Amino acid sequence: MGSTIETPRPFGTVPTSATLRPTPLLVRFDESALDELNTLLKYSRIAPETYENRQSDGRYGVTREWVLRMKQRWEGGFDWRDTEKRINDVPNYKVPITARSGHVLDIHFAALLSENPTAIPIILLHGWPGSFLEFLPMLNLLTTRYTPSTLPYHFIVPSHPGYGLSGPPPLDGDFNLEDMAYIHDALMRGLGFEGGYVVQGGDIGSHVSRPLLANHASCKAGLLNFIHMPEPTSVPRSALTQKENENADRANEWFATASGYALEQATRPSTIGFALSASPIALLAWIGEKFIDWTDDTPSDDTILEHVSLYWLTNTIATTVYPYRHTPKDSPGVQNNPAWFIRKPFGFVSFPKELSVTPKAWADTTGDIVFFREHDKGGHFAALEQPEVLLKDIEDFVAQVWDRT
Amino acid sequence: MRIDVPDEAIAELRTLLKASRVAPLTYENSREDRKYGIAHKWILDAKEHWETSFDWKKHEAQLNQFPQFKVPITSDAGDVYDIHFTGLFSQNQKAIPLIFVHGWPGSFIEFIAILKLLSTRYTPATLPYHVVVPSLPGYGFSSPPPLDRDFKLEEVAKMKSRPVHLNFFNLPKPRHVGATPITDLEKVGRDRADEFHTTGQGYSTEHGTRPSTLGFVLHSSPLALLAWVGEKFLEWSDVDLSIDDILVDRYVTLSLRFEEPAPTLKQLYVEKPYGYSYFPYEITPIPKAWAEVAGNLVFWRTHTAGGHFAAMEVPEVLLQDVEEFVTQVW
Repeated sequence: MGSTIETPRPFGTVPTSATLRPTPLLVRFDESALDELNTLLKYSRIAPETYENRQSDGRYGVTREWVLRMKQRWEGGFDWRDTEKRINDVPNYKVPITARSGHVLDIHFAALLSENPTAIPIILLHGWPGSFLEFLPMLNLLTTRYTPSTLPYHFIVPSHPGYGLSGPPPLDGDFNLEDMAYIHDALMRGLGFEGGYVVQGGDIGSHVSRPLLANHASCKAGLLNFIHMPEPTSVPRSALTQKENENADRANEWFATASGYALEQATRPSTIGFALSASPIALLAWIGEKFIDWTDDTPSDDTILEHVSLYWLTNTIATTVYPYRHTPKDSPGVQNNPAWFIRKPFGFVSFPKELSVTPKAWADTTGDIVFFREHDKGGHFAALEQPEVLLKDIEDFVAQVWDRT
Repeated sequence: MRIDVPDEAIAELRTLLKASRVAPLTYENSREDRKYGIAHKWILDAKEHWETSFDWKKHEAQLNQFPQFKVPITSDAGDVYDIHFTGLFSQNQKAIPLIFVHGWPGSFIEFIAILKLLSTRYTPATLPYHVVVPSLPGYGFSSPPPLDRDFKLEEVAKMKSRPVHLNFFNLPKPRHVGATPITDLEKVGRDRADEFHTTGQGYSTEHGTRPSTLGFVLHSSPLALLAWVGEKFLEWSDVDLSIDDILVDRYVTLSLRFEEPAPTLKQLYVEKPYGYSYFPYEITPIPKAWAEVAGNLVFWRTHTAGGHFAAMEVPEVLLQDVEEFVTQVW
């Protein structure tokens, strides 16, 4: 699928203190993979018109009009090779990492590595149905603002085990959030960052951030843009502003009306894995819905297609749903797990079109927040939708907390 | 009418099925207990069988052994539906009309075994019943619900207005249960129901909230449909149904959404005389003590085998219950 390159490239110099030897990777899928995609697009069936799929507000899911339009664009117009070019504009690597269980997993990451010995290492964790692709605009911004010697940070953007360009979790044992955290910590320490690094996480990435911060000494601070949680019993509604009360109601409503995908993924990951692997149209509907529902301004058709294409071409959807059975709504879930209460420097940035906007008083029950921002634009895919804003949040957070660690 | 699926449609299905991609082996799908859904081995076997040895035309011929009809029915709202049904008409003037109503992911095909039993036991002159087995609107060969408005279960239920026999009743626990002691079998049944309520409703939640998205997923490839629906035929039955039976019965559309929010006991209360047959592998078997307070319970049978697809799994048993019920209440 890829090929290796010998000479280090700008932002591609692995620290000499690294114990891992990541292999540089150029992403290029075989033409046969693209042919298979096109064949299935051609033959796959589109559901007939129904009352539900005619609703242009999308209340029952993606509309037929949207599916037809996206299918047509995917078949002609959208160019995956463009996406590959943008991926390969930054350094990408593969490296074997030993999991907690002893299995060796193949981990992919994109990176901007600084030549500055005081650069602050930052790991950025995507979620579902996201990927490392979400962070490409931010990495691009950084390469225009800094050179390898002036870049004040190392930005490490892995694919979680089972996602994107990483290999799958083990076949013979369950793999949970702590296992994911263990891998990411091993990656960062192995790259030479044992002295300390910061984590930024959204969606599943924010869940993984909690055991990462709780269990791994090298992870010094965390900035989350996602603290989606059931209403804590310890916070009375009288403590919230009117706007926060409305957000609280919407947060509860989300669990009641918009979490079908999460329940299916948590309870029948095998079945949904087969259903979504069968045809790119299946994947387009299931994943595409989230890029529409969970964003402020809907990303362009091509942006959505490249994210769905990554899931399709890597044939990974079946191995991306395992975190859902490890993030139950009920106690001890994730945010209300006392073992994972964040005691290290903790930042929370809130975007208005997140799938539910968590009142700060709720977020406060999950850790000691020392950095809090509310934005007026952007949604769930913050890195994709508002790369400059989130980058500024990261830079300001790190500037505030790093000296203290 | 005769059921006559065009050869091109069958060829198209085969082509798409062959091209469709099977997910790789994973921790979840390699489990033999099927805790997380369809097993990898099962779907590979089913796909191969469907592509190579499954013969739809053979099964179609069996279906056409029974009369198939389409009839326009006008609803209270004024819409006209083209309703498909199969069944058996008696020549006996005193024959009792019976309607058998399937569910999801079932179809009229579930009742073919019962029709076979009746047609071997009786002649048109001696058949004591008129048996009608419709396809619900949006299912099988019936026309779909309207495009321009929501369509609810009550509209479908206008057909049912007489004594009713149930083999499925998803009743929440009544505040005051009846006096009949709960048996050990019923206790196991409640464990099963609890399991269904906590881990078995992902499908229905998605159906109820994102039917449009799910519709595109399941229409895209027969393999997607096979996984989603096949899982239910395996999980909800006592003994695993054969792959052939599952493949025949996969006509389904998703135009029927589930009601939200869940109905109250008052709304579920069955005024007319009703009977219930207890099958232990039903997804939500209810104890007699609950059924007693949920309506005018006049008939009860307990079985030790059989599950959700009772008509397919244990047709003689279900038929006997129905005949005894009818004899009692008519």
